Amino acid sequence: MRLLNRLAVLLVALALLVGGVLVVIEVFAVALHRPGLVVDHDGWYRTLTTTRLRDPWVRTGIVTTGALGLLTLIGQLVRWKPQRLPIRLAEGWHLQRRSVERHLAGTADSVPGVGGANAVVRRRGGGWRTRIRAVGEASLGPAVEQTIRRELARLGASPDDPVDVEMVGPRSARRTGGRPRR
Amino acid sequence: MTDSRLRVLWTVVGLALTAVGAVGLVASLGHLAGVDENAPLIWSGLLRLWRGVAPWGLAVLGVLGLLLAWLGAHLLRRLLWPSPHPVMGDLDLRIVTATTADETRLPPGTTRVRGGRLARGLERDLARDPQVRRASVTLTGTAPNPELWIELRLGPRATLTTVRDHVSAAVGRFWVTAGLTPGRLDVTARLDGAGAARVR
Repeated sequence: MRLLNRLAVLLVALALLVGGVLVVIEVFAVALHRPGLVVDHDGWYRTLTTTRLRDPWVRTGIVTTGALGLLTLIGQLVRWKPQRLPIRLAEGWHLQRRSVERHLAGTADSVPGVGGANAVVRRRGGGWRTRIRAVGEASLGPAVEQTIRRELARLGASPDDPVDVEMVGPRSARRTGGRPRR
Repeated sequence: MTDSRLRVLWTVVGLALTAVGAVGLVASLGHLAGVDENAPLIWSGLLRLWRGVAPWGLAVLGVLGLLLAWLGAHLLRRLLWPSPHPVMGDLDLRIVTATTADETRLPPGTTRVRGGRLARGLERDLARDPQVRRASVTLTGTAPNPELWIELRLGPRATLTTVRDHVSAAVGRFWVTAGLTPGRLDVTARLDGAGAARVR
């Protein structure tokens, strides 16, 4: 969403710049009684003075605008994934979230008999909430959790932070395309 | 432009578009008092107003175009040259060596240290620990209380407590040798060297 916001602002800024310059050019064209550079003045006048508010394509444009606004609003108001996770070891210290997730997934994979691990780490209060999903026998769950907790302690997370481990059997992982899914 | 500012901007834009859509739809269905859904988009009242204020309508439109273009250029500048935290410039040593207010105004010889050089020095000090693969330092704000932003790339076996102690010692040395006092310290560490495990 952060990248999308940036790209969208870039597009809007370019549109405002080009549109604004175009308006100034067209104003000069009208003042000097010259034909428009881009806009067909007579054609636009005819269209805008004959098209009614109730016409289907006008209504479609209005509904599209409203839907776009609603989608934009929802996109901004939902909770975003944090880019950084605070560390309790010291004030002002953070770990990059994606690198932590990658690292924890690799740690879970290092347990014998476990593979295809996914890690999701989010902020929870002042600490972290960690969820691991991995392919392997359910009996390996406690071993994975213990390994993850040890690693989290090394990274400065609190021992009280919750860690959820979900083991997916190799058969069900194959059914879902070789990768565990929610 | 920071992510939070962009978020606020798009929230406002989203609200405005939703309001336009909702009100427009109600008007288009003929349920908005004072709006005739059979009227053209440029209705006769607007045409009369335009002809009544001629030629000032054109001038207003021209100014509106200039305003839009300025807004677009301003947004582009803010987006392409982001400076949420202006980098600290050169450090005039009189700021940190003068003992009285009068001394800072005395002109006989001035020594300036490039802010970037100070940051590179701290980077080298931070990278002396083998657990730190790379360090990037940015000094922002103004002397003598600048803000320190540190980005570290750590090896996969790095222990955060020892890295923290190393960084604290290096930063302490930096403040002492530069003669500055910390305004803010922000450290972001990234763990490198993970395997090919997947992450959602």
